[in-house]
Amino acid sequence: MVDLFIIWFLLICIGYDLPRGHLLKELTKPFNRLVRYIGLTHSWQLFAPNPPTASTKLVGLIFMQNGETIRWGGRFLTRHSWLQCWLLTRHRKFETNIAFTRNQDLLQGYCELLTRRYRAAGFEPARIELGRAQTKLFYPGTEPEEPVSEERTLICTYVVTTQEFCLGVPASETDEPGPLKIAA
Amino acid sequence: MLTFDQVTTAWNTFFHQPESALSLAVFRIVWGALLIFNAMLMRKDLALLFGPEGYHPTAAFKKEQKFKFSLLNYLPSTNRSVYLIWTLYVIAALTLLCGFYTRTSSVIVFVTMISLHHRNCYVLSGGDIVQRLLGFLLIFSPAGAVLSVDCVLAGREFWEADLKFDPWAWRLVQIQISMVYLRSIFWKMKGKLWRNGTAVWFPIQQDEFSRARVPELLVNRFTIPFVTWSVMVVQLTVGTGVWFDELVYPVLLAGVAMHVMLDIFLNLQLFSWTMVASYLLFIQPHDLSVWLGLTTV
Repeated sequence: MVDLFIIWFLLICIGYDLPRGHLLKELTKPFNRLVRYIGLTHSWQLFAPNPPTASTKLVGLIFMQNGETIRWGGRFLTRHSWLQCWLLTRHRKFETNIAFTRNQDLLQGYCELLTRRYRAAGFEPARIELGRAQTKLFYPGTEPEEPVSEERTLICTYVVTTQEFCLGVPASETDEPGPLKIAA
Repeated sequence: MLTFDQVTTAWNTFFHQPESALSLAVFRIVWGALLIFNAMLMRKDLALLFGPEGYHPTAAFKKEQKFKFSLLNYLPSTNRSVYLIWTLYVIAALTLLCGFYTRTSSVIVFVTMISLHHRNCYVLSGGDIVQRLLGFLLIFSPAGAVLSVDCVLAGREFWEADLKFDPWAWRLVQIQISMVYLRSIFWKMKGKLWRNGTAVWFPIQQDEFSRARVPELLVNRFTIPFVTWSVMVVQLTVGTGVWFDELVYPVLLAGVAMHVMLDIFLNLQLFSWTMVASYLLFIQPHDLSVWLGLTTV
């Protein structure tokens, strides 16, 4: 029994993180559900095959009911002490993950969390826009002649008053001319 | 040609020839301390990280976590449940560190750890995944056989380092650690930026990872390719060299140096610390025994 367990674990350990189509990867497939259930999923890409070539942060615009607008940006770890970095990493990780997700429940939950937080701070948000700000990184010597500005993409919009949520801009507003507010 | 007998003998020698559990016990102590430190880092933000009204609201959690075990699936969806799981995790990590009911503690550590990890996987980093896998294997190991309250309760000497145990779970942990580096090299070899020597420059420029700015003097066309390829060489040598008696200590030192540099300039949470702690498992029990003064040379 122990040897069978060893063989099973070796299969998962060696085969699980292989590319699709690899024989060992295929052999792990019958166990995928079990592996996921007990938390043995893993990936050891560690900045591979290529590290991201753009710096990404989650940004937001919070439109208050009184007309005020708050611009909200991502966290920068370089400004903090060693310990604070550790404390902030999970939050920064979450923000980076959410900047790329299409999971509506997760995004709406985050907008609702922001709403609660602003309300607790005495604000009355009317609408929240979340976006992804990306700055392309150029390896020294490969920079373009024209400076490249930060690229902003609207991820979702949440209308607090009606609790209407959608990826991108709400259908009711698609006729509005001009650039997305987040890109302004 | 190999015979089945030879293969079976090699397998049994590698996985089942009795070994002292000293390295494993020292690892258990460091590991327990690391788990407690990790738990303390998330203490203030537990509700936000794992609570029902935090980053990952209950509705989203219920939808996507159907096939992932979490004790939080069976408890009321409140912050109190999260605090309960976290408290159990800390207590079990502490008893694991002391080697008190070691196997039970390992089970509780693993179960509570995956309960939190599965509650919100969007806040996890590589270090958490290593901790999860090693936590799983530690359940099956004789980590509490020496340097533990368990061995005192069993009427043995606390410092008794000569007792030998079936080391198969320890071997699996070693293979897992080695595989982290080898698989990482496998993926890196597929990347253009790693092959052309520029890859290391990108993470140190990113807000997500950069902990400290690398001095400009060190960022140039000679140092970046040198560091990029050095990282690959070190990962390859750690992944393979740990299996050779003559190479194990030099490659572990190279690995420690790499992780120290990584930790200074990049914020990878406790990944580097976890990996360096796991190096204890590659130290020969006899050498460790001599270093700790338990045995004379």
